[in-house]
Amino acid sequence: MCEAVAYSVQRACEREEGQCVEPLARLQVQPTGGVGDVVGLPRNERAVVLGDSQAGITIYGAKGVNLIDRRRLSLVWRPSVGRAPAGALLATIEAQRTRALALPVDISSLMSYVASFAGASLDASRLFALDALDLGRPDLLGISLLDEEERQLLYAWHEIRTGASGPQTVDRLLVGWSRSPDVARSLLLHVWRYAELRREELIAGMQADAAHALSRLLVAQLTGTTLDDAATIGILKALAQEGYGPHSLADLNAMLSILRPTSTAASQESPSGTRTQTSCPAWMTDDGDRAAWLALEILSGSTNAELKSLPPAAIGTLPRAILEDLIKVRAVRTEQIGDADLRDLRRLTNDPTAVPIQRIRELGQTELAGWVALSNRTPDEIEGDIAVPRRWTILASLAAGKMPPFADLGELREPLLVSLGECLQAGTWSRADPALLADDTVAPVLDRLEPPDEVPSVRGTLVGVERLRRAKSHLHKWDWRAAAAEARAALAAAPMERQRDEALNLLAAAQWQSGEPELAMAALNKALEGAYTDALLVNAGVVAAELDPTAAVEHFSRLAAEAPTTQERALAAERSVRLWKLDGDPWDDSGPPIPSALCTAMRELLKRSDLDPERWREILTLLAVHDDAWVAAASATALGPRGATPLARVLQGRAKGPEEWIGAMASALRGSLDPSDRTFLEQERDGLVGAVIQALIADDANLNAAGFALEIVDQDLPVDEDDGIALRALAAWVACKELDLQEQEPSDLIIRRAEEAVRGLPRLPADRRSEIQPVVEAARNAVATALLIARANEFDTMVDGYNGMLEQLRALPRWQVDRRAVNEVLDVCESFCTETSTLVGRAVALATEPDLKRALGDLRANVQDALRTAQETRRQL
Amino acid sequence: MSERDTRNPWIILGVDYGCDSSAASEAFARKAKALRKMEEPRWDRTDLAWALSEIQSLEGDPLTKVDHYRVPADAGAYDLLASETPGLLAPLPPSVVRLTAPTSELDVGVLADRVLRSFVERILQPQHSQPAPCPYAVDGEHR
Repeated sequence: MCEAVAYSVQRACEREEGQCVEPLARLQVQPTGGVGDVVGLPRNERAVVLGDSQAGITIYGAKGVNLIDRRRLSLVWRPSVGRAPAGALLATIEAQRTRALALPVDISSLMSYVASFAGASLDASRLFALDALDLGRPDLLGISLLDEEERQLLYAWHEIRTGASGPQTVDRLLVGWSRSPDVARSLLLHVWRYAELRREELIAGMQADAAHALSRLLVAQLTGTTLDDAATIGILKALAQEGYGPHSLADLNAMLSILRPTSTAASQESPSGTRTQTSCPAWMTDDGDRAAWLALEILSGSTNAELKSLPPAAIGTLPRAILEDLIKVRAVRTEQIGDADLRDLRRLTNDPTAVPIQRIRELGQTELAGWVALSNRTPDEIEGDIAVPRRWTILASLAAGKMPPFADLGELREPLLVSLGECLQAGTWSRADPALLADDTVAPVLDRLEPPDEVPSVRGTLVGVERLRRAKSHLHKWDWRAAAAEARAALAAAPMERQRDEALNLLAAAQWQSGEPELAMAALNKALEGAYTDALLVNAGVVAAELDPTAAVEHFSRLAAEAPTTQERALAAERSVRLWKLDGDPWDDSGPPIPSALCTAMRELLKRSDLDPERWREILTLLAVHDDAWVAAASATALGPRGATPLARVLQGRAKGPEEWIGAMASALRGSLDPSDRTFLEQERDGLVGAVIQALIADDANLNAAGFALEIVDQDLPVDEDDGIALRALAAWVACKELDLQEQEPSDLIIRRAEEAVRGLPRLPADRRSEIQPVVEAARNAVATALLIARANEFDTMVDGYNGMLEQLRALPRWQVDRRAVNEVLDVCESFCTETSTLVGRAVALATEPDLKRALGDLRANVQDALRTAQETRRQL
Repeated sequence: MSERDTRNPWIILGVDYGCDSSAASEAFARKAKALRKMEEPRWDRTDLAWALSEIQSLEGDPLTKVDHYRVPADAGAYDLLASETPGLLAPLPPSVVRLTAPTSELDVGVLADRVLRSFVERILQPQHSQPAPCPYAVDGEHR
């Protein structure tokens, strides 16, 4: 607003400084011809030209005034000034004085010609006046036709432009005001410094001039002249009506409200009734001025906070009374206040207890000192301080449950204090004034007294709490009806939400025990509106689960998303999970899918920075099982503040698949981990390994279980050594068991895992070794047996083929034998025999059963015989 | 709803949820004694024993469990603490007594004048560099 007003004022002043000023007159420069020229005559004479016409040149020389032919003259000198003949001639006269033009004429006579020219017309006079002023002869304006007012305006202008303005200039403008207010006003702005000397005349001179309202206002304020409000408003209205700038009367009135806040309060508000807050204009750079502006703003009802950023020196320029007003509305900071008393007053307004009582008293704040004593001190300390007013010592005693003399209470003539005193004296609040019971500050004092048999029907915390206690007591005595009645009474009496929620909780408990779960649920739902405790959520879950577990899941899922605190949300989510998996294991991914609302709530919970790490782990693990697609694709940010930890990667791996899960777990366990995460992961690992071992020893163990075990081994998941041996042995055992030995044989990997198990066994402690040994033994015999069967079958097939080939060789003449083809067959046979011999050797090393060893030995002997036979056949080719 | 569904160990023994084992034992003894005087007690001694056993089995961290109805749901609701709202024994601080005389029109006027002076100086400042306008408007070339 102030910027707008400043702009408006600026516009007004632009008019006044001349851009839009109406001049005194509009003049046309007159032709001077040769008037004023100094010319040379024959015989070296000189003359001044007085006239220039077709008839000839009128000159004034030693022989007086003559008309002479132009051709007989020569130009000696010409004046450089002259808007009209009078001015040109005056310029020659002035030159004669200073330059000694050697004119053979009488100057005074010449001046009479000047006067004659100047007096030819008003315009001639005005043009002459300008020339005279240019020539430094303002004294000659008297010879013109100009009136006094106009001459004074010209004098003023001349003084201003030549730097000779002074108080007399203001005088001239006052004289010239009536001749041309516009010109006078515009010139006045150039000599405003001197305006104070003549302020009364200035104001009076402008009084009736509505068009000059702005000047009047400015000058009045500038010179310290007090305008009454009606006059000021009138001026502003005049400005508004004249259209000074694009701003409305409302703007100008707003300006006025800033300038005169106490006397024009009605104008401080906009038509809509709200006070517009404005900033201090940026151009107002002086801190003292800014302080003044802002103080006026704030005292007008604004909440402007800029004052607090000003330096103490600027605040120090404010009048003390104003500063105290500002302190009262906390518009200045303590550090900004230089005055010690006012500074402490500011502290008092902020926090009375932060100022020493002695100092508060020094500031004359006796009652406040009593209040501080009541807040800070013990009753005994207050009692001993004679400077504390009596009322405060009595209050202190009562607040501590001490009974002051009744005479003192009576002195105060406050019925509630007297009633409190009577209660303390009687040791019960049975006859307390109802207003006293409704006062929560008295409740802790009365609570130390005996409650009445019949609790009055008064709304107040004391009564509400007493009702709560009785309701709970009835509940503990299994009297549901009485408990419900007292809980309802507590609900009616308690003003605070906390007590009301507990009343609803007790009511619900009574109804639930009475076999009315629907009513109980309704009461709990009511209690869950607004703030509530974890316990209320639990209770609602307990009752809801009894009514309809599916509905209860939705109920708790909603709470898991909306509860005010993270812990409460987590609690609700946990309860929801339990209700959803009412009859099963939460980690089991069979059964109905996870409710989407619960899923969403848990996803959001992960992001909460204050979520307990253990709960975060549980929730992410749950989601990895039941919401695996989302977890697998989730970014680290989506998984919350711990989303980039190794543990998060493990759980994300779990969602992706066994290979990723085991790989991530192996990597995490080998790396650096938060201790609790390590404990958790080790437990996860142990559970996983245990589950795999269980699956491998189950009757229906299959290749999937074996594959899982081999993945654990392959990924080098850090496990206990006995578990590693068991996994290797069992995987080999199950794999061999599941093989179709007519078509398949144990792979090298299986054999190696079995061999590793055998090699690892001796490293185990004796007790563990004895436990694992049967497993390993079963595995090594299973692998050896599988190899025996598979290779024996294959060997038989090979021998059949070999024998068939021999028969063909015998039937053919040697020259017909395709040696190349025979060599190829022999290559295959020899290769098989060599490989089988090696494999059977490993199987022999694995086998522990004597029969199996013997059978393997036989197979190996046969294979070696076959090898020798094949080699002999090759030699005979 | 089965009888078992609504049994609550703490309500049966008449103790607050979360109480310790010894408080539960004392309550058990008290209830067992009171049971004898009841004509048609809702629960019998077996129920009391079950309740005691349940509470003892949960001792340690009952507040982390979410399976039982809790009475009270908010133990703090039964405490009468110092009120945060003002009242008889906790009155609002008395008004600060004024140190200076009430603000006068003159005080406000001082500020208003200072602000206005700042306005005026701002407005007039640029004119110092501009020539005073000639009172006449003159057309045409002159010497």
